[in-house]
Amino acid sequence: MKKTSWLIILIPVSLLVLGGLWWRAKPVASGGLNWKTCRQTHRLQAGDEKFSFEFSFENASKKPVTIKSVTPDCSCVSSSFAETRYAPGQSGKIPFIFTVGSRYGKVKKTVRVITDASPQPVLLELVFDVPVVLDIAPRLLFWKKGGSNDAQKIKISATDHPYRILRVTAVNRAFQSEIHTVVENREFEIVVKPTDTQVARSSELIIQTDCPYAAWSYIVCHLRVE
Amino acid sequence: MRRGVTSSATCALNKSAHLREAAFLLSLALVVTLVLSLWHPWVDFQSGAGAVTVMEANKGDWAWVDARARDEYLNGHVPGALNLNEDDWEPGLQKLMATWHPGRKILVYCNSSRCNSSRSVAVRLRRELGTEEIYVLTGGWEAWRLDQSR
Repeated sequence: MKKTSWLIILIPVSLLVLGGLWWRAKPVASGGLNWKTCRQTHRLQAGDEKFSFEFSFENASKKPVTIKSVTPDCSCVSSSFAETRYAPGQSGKIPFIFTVGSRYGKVKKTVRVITDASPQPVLLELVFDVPVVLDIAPRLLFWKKGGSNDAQKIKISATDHPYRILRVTAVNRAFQSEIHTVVENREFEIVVKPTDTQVARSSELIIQTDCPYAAWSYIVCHLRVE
Repeated sequence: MRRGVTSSATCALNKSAHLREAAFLLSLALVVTLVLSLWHPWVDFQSGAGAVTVMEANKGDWAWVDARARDEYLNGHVPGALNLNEDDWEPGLQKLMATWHPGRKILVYCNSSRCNSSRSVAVRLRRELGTEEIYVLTGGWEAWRLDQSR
């Protein structure tokens, strides 16, 4: 490639890159306020129950701005923020708490902020990356009454940390189960089958692991012939 | 000696050309990464679960799942709907697994078109129940209530 043609490509590409970086880094003006960012991504630790974070802003206008309301789209995101007036040049923060509950994977939420400076709400976007401690699927196995009693599998994988399956028990003994290790301490298959399918029956299948988190140490799946 | 110099110069030229190529590819990769990082986080909001309008919902036989918070559910819900949300997943999932049977379609709703919890519940149910027959109500509880008041 000639030097000149290389420059013709590189200069616009570099400008695009720098422009993009500048655009991302600069405060976002919305609702009469300059927000440090309108989107945040947080990676949580396995076992985290709550996570605190905040959005910062500055009133860069020449008039006072009042934040009238802060409304998350999920009860899992809460804020104790009350209506507050900000003088020109004044900075502020809205603190939030995210309650993880039973969520995992990429959790996406939004918060609507209403100010007296604009009829359009400010949309604050959130992504929480909650580690999947144990991935278990499916949690429900069916056999058709009178049909084949072929074995079915529940797959379990420990993606974040290695864990062991300690015990698998079908409450109803008309179902048999076995633990197959696919990858030591990482991937397992629980192979389950009913002794027969002549009678409609159901059972819980209890999977016990050595995972320290309550939600993943004792897992209940369902088995049904119907 | 001369050959050696020439050889050395050629080698340096090649190295430089490779570096330029690498810089060019790196710049391109940066642009692509930047564009993807700006675009990606919000594109899959709509994916993962099929949407059903209130009109379509009225015609079918559905297992209704209310993905809102418990207090909102207690204030009013679609008759027969089961409360299942990610605040406390297991109790709702256990109830659903004990009563639902394959072949019955599941319809999940949250407050309105602005909420996202019905989609995340639907995606998770598809995986944990091992069925694709799980849908999301367009407009959620607000749309259903509006339809009932007509």
